[in-house]
Amino acid sequence: MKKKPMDYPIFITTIILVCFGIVMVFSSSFYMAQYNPDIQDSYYFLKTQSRWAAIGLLAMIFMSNFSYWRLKKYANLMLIGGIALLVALLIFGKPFNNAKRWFIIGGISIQPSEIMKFALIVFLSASISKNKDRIKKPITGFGYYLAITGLIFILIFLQPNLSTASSIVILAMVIMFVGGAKLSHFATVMIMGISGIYVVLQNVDPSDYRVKRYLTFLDPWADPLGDGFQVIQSLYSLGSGGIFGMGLGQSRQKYLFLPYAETDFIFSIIGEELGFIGATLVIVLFLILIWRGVKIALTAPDLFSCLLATGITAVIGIQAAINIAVVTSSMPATGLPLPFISAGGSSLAFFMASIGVLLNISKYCKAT
Amino acid sequence: MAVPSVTNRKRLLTMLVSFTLIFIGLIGRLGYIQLIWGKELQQKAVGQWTRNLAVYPKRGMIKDRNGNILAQSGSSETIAARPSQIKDPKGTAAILAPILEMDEDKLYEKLSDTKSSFVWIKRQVTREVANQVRALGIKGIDFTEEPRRYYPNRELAAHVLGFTMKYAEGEDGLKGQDGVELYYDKYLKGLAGKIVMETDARGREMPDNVDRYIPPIDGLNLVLTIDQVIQHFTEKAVNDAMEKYAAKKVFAIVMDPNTGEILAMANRPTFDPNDPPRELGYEGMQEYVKNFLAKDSMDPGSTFKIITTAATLDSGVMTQEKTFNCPGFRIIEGNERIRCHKAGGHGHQTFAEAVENSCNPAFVDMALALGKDKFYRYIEAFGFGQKTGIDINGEAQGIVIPREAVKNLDLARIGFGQSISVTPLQLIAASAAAINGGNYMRPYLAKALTETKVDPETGEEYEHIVKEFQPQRLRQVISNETSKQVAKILQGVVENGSGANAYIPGYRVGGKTGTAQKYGEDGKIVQGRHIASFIGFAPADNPRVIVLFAVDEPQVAVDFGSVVAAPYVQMILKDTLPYLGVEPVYDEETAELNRQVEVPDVMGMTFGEAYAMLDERELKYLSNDSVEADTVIKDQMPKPGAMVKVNTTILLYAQEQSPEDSSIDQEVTEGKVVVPDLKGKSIREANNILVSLGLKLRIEGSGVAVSQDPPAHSQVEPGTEIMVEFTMPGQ
Repeated sequence: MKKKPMDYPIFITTIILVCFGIVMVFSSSFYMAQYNPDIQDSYYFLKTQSRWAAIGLLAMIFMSNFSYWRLKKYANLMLIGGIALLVALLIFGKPFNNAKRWFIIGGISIQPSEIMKFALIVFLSASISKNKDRIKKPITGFGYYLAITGLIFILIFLQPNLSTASSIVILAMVIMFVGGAKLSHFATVMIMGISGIYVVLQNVDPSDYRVKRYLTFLDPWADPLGDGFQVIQSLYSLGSGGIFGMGLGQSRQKYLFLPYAETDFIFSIIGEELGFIGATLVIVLFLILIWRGVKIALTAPDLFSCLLATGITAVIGIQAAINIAVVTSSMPATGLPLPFISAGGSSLAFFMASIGVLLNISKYCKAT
Repeated sequence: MAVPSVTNRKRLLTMLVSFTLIFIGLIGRLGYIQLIWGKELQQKAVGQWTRNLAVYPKRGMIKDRNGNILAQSGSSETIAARPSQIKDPKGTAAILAPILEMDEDKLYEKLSDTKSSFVWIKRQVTREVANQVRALGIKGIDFTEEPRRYYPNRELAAHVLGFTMKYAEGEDGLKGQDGVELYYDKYLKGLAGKIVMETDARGREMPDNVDRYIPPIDGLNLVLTIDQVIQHFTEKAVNDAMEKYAAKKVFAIVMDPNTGEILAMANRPTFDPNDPPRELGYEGMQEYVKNFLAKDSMDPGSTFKIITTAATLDSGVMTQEKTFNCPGFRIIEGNERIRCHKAGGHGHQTFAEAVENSCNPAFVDMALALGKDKFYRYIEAFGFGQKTGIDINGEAQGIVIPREAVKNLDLARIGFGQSISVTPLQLIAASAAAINGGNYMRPYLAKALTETKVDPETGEEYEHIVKEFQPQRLRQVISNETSKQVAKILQGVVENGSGANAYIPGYRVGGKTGTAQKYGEDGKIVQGRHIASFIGFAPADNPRVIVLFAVDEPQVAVDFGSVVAAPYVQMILKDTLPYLGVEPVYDEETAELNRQVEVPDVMGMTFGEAYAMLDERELKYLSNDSVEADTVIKDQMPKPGAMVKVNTTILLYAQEQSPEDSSIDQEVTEGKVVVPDLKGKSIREANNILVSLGLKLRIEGSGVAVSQDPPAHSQVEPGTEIMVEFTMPGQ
């Protein structure tokens, strides 16, 4: 097959997002890092984020030259390996903040759910493209994929990490949707899901703190020092930014008012320092990625490449959308980092690696 | 290899559109938050970014009329902590507990409370303690200055000044809680300033913070009508009376009758406004801090006769030519018998004599002659049943039987000061009106509000008067002529009548005694419990000062106002008049009054014989009402041989009184007096004892007598001067 040059808009957008992310991670973390008794180094997050960005760049270059079709062969292995890691985590993992989410190997934290996400993309793309008609079958096709997704959901849910578990389900649904699953199957699942949620809601105590937590986004001021705290602080950040922002580095909320300013709530700091214009530009960058990603999927040389591109694009879009929805108090607070920007170690490397795959696919796209 | 189908592509486009719509929705939401809601959110955010430290204004000073400081503001050190910065709370607590005299566990609890960014450790500690802690240099221990109110004269004028809260609170700083501190709080307190500091979420100052300082505006100074020196005289008198009579309460007011300015005001029991007895709670404190002079009412008793006299003469229902006959009682409405205090009655008296004798039947006649309408018009004009309008919160208004309900019997009783309830303040204000020319002056405490300013040229501080309070003449109550007559009659009370104990040689003193009944909880008169009072003023022909002195439940056999209260009015006047520059005048009239006579020995005589003898010597006498004319006198005061001025009252006792100095059996040379042992006596006590023996006192120092010359038990000529040295106890 004749190779074309890679898709530069995606490459450039990714580099911009990553570099911008390093700057924002530093800006939002230096005060906290200085005063955190375990760190006491203003540059700590700048250093780690830069290191991971370098690793990510290497991974991206590698993946953009690595013949991704080979992944097909390892698809089942990757799925089983991913699930095994999740099970191992539940058994052997050490809890942080009452949750088992990371393995720490040689000082580097690895999130098995992160690996799982990409393994599932590869597995679904490979499996669906292998037999186009299989997915249309209710039990052996659609039901089968659904069961695997469900298993993964449960394993991640048990960590517990509902946000990641849910985002994986959405991701799987998107791939299956583009992969040609029957709409009637989706409808059935949807009805079952809604009635299931309805039954759950009927059986939970509305005053249960977990239920309340999921609803605080509707009125964060109902519990300003408890569950509403993070969201209120996030809104203060965004509100203080106004149209042009307080200027790069000028956030006041990062002085320990806004929790997780360098990770899950980094978008709030962007909004505060760079204003509505800066925050909107970041969203536009994500839209460019999605647009180019979809374009690659549309012109992909085969269904596997198409679904792989779809999955990669979707995972970025889903996480970015959820993250921004959370910080703008548009949905219940969950803990998902903003792709490429949030300080998050291995996550950044995985996203950059998957961009590498996307760039690789772009080289084989048909001219339009 | 399978190629993407049309379906795949359509669905991809659906995905693209969905994502685009979601992100556009998020941009919309972001725009709403940042552009529309932003202002409000930012305002709330600013609130948490800054910390305001209140900077308390300096509360204004309170000064007496001559600029002497009665209350001032200072600061005291307070120790606080920032628990998040304390490395070793346990060790810190162990070090600090002994220095601060605090419980170590409680201290540890405070220091380890990392949820709070700031905790008080101990407020208002001494400079020494603060320095001791400062020297330790513990990180996280902070020092702040807190405002504090100081009353340099302690109990002096405590009830006038009141007090403030112990600790500054909120914007108001040290809020006034009683007295003028409360009444003039809004002028004294000033306006708080603040320091606005940019901080992080833990309250730590921002690295590039520049404090914004909004300076406070200090409170105004309050200048009172009180004269510190006269207040001293008054405090001395009430202290002495309280101690001497073991009374329940003692209170006194000194007022300028022409302006209504209160020159002194004292209550006993009292308190130190630096440390009012807060531990007793609000109710419990009242016994000590309540200004009874304005906030409590009592039966006035005979002092009210000043008012009846003034009303009777002013209305014209009687003139001074009117005479009265007192058989010892009056029958009202056919069957109600009102007794005179003198068994057997005063007999035939002129108008002036009736007042001098404080003869109840005469005042019953006056009240009934006035009748309900006229008498009530005067009672109202003299301010009874209404607040005087003095600048004291919670002034009482007394009780006057409603005009519609008053019966003749009530009216008759009001005539001599019963069946009416008044505050001491109402009584002195009304009495002032009766003798100052007939003007009812609003009594007041605040003379001016001033501001301390600095002259830009000389750099000297001066007081700029912001507001001056002028005397307020509320109404003319009686005519100037009547007022002159009343003053003259009251001068007679002191010179010839029951007020003799208030007489001061060289001064024309007017006055009226009072011995008021007390009522129990059931509203019935309690036997044997009285409020002995006296209202005196001088000079009678041009009054400069009027004094009310009252002793509640004096623990003495004879508790009449003439005996118990009048000497204290004399004492205050004697000190105050020269201080005010009123010099004594010795003319024929005063010389006659000053004539000295020797006290005869009446011990062993019957009361009847003694009365006759004392009348002959131009001396007055007083005994317990219950004695019969043929009872034998066992003791007398002053002792025989003492030289006293005419009209002095001699106390006669049916029982042996045993003063310490008479316990020593000694042969006394004819015409000589035995010098008493004065050791341990106060100046006032020593003076009383010596005067009763016809001796004179020369005072050296102050406090309690420690030595004397001539020594005790030596025999000296009457009139000899005894030098007594006094020192303050404990020195």
